[in-house]
Amino acid sequence: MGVQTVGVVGLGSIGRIHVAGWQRLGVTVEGADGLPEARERARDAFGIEVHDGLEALLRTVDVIDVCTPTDTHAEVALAAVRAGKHVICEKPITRTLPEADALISAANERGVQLHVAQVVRFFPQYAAAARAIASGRIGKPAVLRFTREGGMPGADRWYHDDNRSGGIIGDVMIHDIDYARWVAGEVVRVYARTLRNAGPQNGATHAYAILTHASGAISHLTASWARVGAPFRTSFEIAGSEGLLEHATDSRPALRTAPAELARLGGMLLEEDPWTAELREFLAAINGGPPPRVSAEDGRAALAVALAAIESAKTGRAVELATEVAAA
Amino acid sequence: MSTQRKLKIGIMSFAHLHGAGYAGLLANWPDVELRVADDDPERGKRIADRFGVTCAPSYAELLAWKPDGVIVCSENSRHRELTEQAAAAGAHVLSEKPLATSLADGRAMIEACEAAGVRLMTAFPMRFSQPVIAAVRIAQEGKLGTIHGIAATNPGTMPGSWFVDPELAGGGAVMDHTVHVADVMRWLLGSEAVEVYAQTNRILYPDLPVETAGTLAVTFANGTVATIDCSWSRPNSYPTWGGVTLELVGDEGVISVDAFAQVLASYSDGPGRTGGQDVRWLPWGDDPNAGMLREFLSAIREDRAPVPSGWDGYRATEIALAAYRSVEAGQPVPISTE
Repeated sequence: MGVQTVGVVGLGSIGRIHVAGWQRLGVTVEGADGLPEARERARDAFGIEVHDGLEALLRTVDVIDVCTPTDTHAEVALAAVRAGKHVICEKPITRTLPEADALISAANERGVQLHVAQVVRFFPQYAAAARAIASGRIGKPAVLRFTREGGMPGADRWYHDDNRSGGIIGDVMIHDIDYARWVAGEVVRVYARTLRNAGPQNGATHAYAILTHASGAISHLTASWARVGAPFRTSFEIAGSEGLLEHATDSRPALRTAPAELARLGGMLLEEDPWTAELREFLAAINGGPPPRVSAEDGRAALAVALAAIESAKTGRAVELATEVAAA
Repeated sequence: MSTQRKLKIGIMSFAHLHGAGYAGLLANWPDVELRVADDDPERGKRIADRFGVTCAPSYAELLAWKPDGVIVCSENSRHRELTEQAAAAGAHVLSEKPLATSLADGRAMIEACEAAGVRLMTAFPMRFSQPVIAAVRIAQEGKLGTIHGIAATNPGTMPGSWFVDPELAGGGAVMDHTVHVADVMRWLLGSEAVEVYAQTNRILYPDLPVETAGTLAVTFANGTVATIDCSWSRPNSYPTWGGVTLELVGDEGVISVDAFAQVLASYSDGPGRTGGQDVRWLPWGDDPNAGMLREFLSAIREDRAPVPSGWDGYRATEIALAAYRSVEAGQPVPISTE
């Protein structure tokens, strides 16, 4: 008997995306959120049962999907693990490395699965590039560039509070950090700069990082909340010893419309959105299928690189990553 | 799902390159048992071996296996005979496009399937392209208002082989590349073509016995004016085989859809940088052929008519054949839909 019911904790923007994904997969979803308006919104939009906290969910569901603000991941996920639930955790795995280590060991000890939702690996254009690299089309990756740029989250949002979210690096750049590790291997050194302080907590809204991979490959990453008033965009360029792969979400749109807003009605132009594809793979693993393309240790390693980048941005010095991180 | 009976699917002929692509998909689907046959036995064996499936020694033996459905991927002019054989054996048929090289053959295929009580589907994968589906949905929801004009293109590289044999292909670029977007237009508008004007030439590949470029203007019964570029105008060095685009112009909005925009640009020097220049667009979106094959299988399982049907294939062929009449006349020609 496979998973019947999933409990999504945290019904904000990513929580609602996950609820929709679970419903597409035919899984019964219940939700929990401390905010009455978030509960009401999810109940109205998805017709799901909602609770005001984790406790009620632990009594009824098989899997807990943690979609709360980053600084609460560890507490919620640990409680779920201790209750014997398999756990899916939105990225970053936790806010700190000790929390990540404690969570991974607790899951191992309790014998439950822990999955970290580094969703970029499930975006088909990124997955296709990873396949092309694995098949040898561009030889050995040497120089990689990634950008991830959008508008600013609402000024009152927790994303701006570095202590809660990890800021632009911990919340946004970590997507490409994980992907860069996936295609170019372990990261051994990081240099990063943050700029354009503008949030209510005066956090940075734009960041650059230069990663050095164990292979010698270099990744240049841009993450930004500075692109106010324009659509969110991402791009990558991966140059190897025998070739190059390029992609940008806005370079060749499949739909162009007048008025421009009409294009949004088209959605993602995919049979299955990347979040649903990701949850499908986690669900299959929990039901006894193969391990997913991203592990909890990958989530921990991406966090380690992100935290090193944050430290580098503070100190102005390049930060070496401990080899135990590289080995993890 | 995993408990459902496997469907027995046959592929008749690999003359059309799409056949090998369909085999590659179906060979990996757990709910399908695939066998193939080809009147070019070496070609059939080679492709069957590549995907680890059985190649029957003849069409008769493939049909004696009693497949639930067959996909006809022969030369265009042979769709009719293979469809008639399959129908007589009680197999549902998915025919490669264009449905036939004459309206008489197309009608005979439809009638043979009706008489045998089997379904006939035409291979129009653009009905299963996610960008095209989105554009059609937005248009059908009325978001563009009344659609007055459509400019569509389906250019490709010159396919060579029997595609340039007027007997086997039924023509050149017009026969090859008119029907995909013509079908999308009929679906989108819910209206039939009533008049066609076309110009063709042979400037590209002048030694071939068929037209290699063409542009059509099609007037639909509802008044929409649509143009189609069906040319083999993409050089061999183009990064992919061709493409499909449509621009829909309504009185409240415009949509341009590029069905093959979901690609990565790939540049490869080959192992040890010893290859020639290799620039390609690698697709990452959903494969429209997979959606099309799933529709064929679902229609068989659910005992319903597949979409697009044999009639959809017939109507699109009518537009391509009218284009040849127009070229002959140098003027627009009517299509009188019975």
